[in-house]
Amino acid sequence: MAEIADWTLVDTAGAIAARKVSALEVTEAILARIAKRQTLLNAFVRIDTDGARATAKAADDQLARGAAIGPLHGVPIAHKDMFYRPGVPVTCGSAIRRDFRPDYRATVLARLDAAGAVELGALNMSEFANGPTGVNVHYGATHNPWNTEHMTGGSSSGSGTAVAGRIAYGSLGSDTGGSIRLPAGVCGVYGMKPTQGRVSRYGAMGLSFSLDTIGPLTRTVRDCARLLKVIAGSDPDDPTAAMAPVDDYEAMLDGGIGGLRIAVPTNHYWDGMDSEIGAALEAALGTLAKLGARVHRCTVPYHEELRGLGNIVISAEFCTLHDDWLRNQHDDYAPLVRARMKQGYAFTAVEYLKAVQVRPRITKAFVDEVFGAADAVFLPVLRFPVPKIADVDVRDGLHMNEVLGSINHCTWPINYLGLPGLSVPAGFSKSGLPIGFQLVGRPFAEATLFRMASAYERETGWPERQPSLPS
Amino acid sequence: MPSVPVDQARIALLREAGVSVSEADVQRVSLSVRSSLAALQAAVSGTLFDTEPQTFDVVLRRLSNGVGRG
Repeated sequence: MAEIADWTLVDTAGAIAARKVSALEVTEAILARIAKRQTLLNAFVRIDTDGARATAKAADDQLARGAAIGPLHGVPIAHKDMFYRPGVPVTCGSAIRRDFRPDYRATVLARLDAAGAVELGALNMSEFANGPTGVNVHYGATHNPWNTEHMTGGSSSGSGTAVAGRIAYGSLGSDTGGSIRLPAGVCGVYGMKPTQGRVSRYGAMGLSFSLDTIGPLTRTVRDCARLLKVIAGSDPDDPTAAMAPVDDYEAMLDGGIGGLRIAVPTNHYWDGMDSEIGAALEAALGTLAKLGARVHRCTVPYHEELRGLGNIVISAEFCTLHDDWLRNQHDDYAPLVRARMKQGYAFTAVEYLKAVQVRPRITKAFVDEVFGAADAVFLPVLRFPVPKIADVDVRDGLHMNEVLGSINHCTWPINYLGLPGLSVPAGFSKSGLPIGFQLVGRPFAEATLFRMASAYERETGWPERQPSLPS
Repeated sequence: MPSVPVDQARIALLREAGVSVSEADVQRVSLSVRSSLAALQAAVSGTLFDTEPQTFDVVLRRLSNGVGRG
């Protein structure tokens, strides 16, 4: 029988609810795992051992009293270190906020609390969620559980490695240019970047108020569906949170994908594709077709425009938020972060507002053109094997933009469009590192993406494979 | 009066903002500005004048088409 720490999030919640295992036993099993693997992975920046035990004990007491329980009752999870809780330090991966203690609680944390989750602590991340590699000069790089010399991807780097390394049943991340989908794809787990506005951002550190999204990373599709259902929905504290009703994602997982249409762009996203990765992605498409999906090739519009427009919006909004610190605490930023931020000063107000103003029109044109004939678009996560940390630790070198741009080449355009994107594990390279693809859908079509990924998961069983780490 | 090249004008913006600028910054910012402004020009050519008032969340809701529900 699998060790407790290897159970899925949904199975663990079920076992606790059925009183086959206590929340405290589960929490102790995970804490023991963390003790063995944290040094290798550097996933956590703060481990709240006492708090987790106390919450788990309270969850067990609640169950013993016969009280109503939530869908995550007693399940230990963790989150990127950018969500606020009163009195609890939130570093945002930075030196500048090393001692910051907010006085209010993020809506997503409030919803996880209400669902009964046990918080294990805070996960490592790229400084201020800026950077797709997982390198952090203040708290150290995170390490890929499948080969610790290799990058985890970022910026939700700890969120990816903690779930893949089986030291948390699920995690939260944020995605402004690929920061959920990259670490998920690179670490071999699922990561959902929801539709813009699907999840409240109240009490979450901002990077780009137009493009930031919050979402889950998990080992299975069902786990991902459950976590998203818990955190999604309108929020009186966040006027940008969408009012659209939240689907019952789990109930819609098993519908099969016969007849669903998948578009595969032949331009941009496949440029410079590594042959091994390309072959794995073609095999995944073959599997989806075998399951009944109708796969067709197409060209997609605006990819060059989307990169430039996204760059203007993100860099201008990022340096707007950091302007004061950049002038007065310049040296407290990592060289890479401040170098990226400075680009935002170079755009005028008119250019920034043009980039914002044209967004609805381009999104509508893209959706009309692409999703008129498709239910999802299939994209790579990375076009090359997962690089070594040493090869992507570019600091503020002259090739910084080129290296970082190659990593987020396939994820970056989706944020400007505001569309949902799910990172799906698609096997492993010969060197044993994960390969992933993205499924991108219409606005609020997260359920369709989960359904496709679930059919693929049942067929391939990729999440069953475990990294070789101390148990 | 000779016009200042766009790249140099943008670097001047950065300096005027009171932010320190290295030689590497100059190179990166120039490249970033050039490619982003080309993309912006391609995206907005002839379209913005007729852009109706709208917010992005409303557009997303209209484009959702009910897909994924039920």
